[in-house]
Amino acid sequence: MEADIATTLAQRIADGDDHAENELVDRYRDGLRYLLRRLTGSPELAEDLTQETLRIVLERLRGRGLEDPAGLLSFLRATARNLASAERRRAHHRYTEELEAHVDPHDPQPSPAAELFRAEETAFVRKLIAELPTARDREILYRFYVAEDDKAHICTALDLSETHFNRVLHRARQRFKELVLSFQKRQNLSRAQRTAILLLLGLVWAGLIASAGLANKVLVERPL
Amino acid sequence: MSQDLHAEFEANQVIDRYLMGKLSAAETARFEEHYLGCPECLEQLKLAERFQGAIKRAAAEDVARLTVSTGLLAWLARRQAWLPAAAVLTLALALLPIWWTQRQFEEQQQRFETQLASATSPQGNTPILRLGQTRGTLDPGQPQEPSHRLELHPDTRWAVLSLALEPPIAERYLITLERENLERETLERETLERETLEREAGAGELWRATDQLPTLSDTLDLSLPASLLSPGIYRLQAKPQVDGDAATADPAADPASTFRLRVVPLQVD
Repeated sequence: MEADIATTLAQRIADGDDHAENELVDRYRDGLRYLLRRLTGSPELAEDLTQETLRIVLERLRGRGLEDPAGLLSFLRATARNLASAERRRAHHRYTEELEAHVDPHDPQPSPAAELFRAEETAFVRKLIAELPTARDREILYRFYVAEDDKAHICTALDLSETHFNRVLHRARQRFKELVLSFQKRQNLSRAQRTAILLLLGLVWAGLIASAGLANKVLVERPL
Repeated sequence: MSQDLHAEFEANQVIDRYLMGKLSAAETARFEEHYLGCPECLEQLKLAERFQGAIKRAAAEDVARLTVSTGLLAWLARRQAWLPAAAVLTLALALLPIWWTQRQFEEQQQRFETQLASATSPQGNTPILRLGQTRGTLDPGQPQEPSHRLELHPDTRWAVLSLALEPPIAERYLITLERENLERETLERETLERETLEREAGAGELWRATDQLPTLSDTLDLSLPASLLSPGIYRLQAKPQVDGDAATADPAADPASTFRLRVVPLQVD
């Protein structure tokens, strides 16, 4: 189905449909950004390369088009990967030059907010692990996610059914999602409260100024 | 079809394995091309990435904590044999100041007792010298040799001088000791004990004693510290003392009686 949508979009863009271009951008921008962030490791660079990927793809679709419009997704992915590879080569060259010039390569640190979220997420994982009913379920998570053991091997070693294995993983992820959403909700709520307090203070301040101005006007214009 | 695909991804842990880099190249391409246009999978992917990151961080923290505690326990276990010794050493260090103070006190007490015993014990080698009054006026320019000699052994601590008084005999006497033919500055340098005694006595005096009562045989018997008497010529003056004033002589009374002696070291064979 996704392939059908992509084919249609490619054909419409080739026909000069501006709306189709916007649709393509809206539909694939987030996925491309995620893919490029994974490939480059940098959100800023991923954003730039996403724009570049979309520009290249749109120009190609507007120009000579694709031989197989159904291959739009493959073309998008290949273009993104090629750009990321080229950037990696450039970055490697730049890094080598910086090392030779004894300049510290740029190593961006996570922001305090990001650190806070990461700490919270770690706490959520501890919580959900503690909530697991059996030690065996905890071992499943540990073996799969930390030791990166294969599913088949884990099921054999712990004498598990595949269904049980899938269920443990699924529930753990779901619980994690609930905790994260709850945290985000609290964050948004507190942000809204802060905004409301600031707004209220602003209103009080404006009221005070207006009152002072009014009082001044009354005093000045009062007939002697 | 999309639901089937998602079920397949779920059953095969495609998202987790993609994040772990465990998918084949074909599976990776297929999944990436899918999530480019699938917001649902993209959301799952982001959530799974955070979940994996969090669970790995938690495990890493636990391992680090375990390593530290295990390391500490191992260190303690390795040193278990030394623990009693360390405890004894710590206790000894704590008790050291108390022991040291006690020792100092005992030493001081012993020294005091020795001095007390020495001071109160009879002195077998104490020299006793009877001195007669010196006649005539002394000329500082031409000193005369005293007629009395006191030989002092280096170990002697006291010397007893018996001053023979001539009538009229007063009730009480003020006795002063001075040294002749020696600069005072030199005297002051000799010993700390002497300086102390000088300060207690008047200016120019080596020693002073008040309220000295004559004996029935009209003598004034004095015990002088031998440390005062280094080799040289000394002059003792006995002045009648005014009642009520223990420190001054009676100006209306008879002039002072003077006694001279030379102190020489005793030659030990």
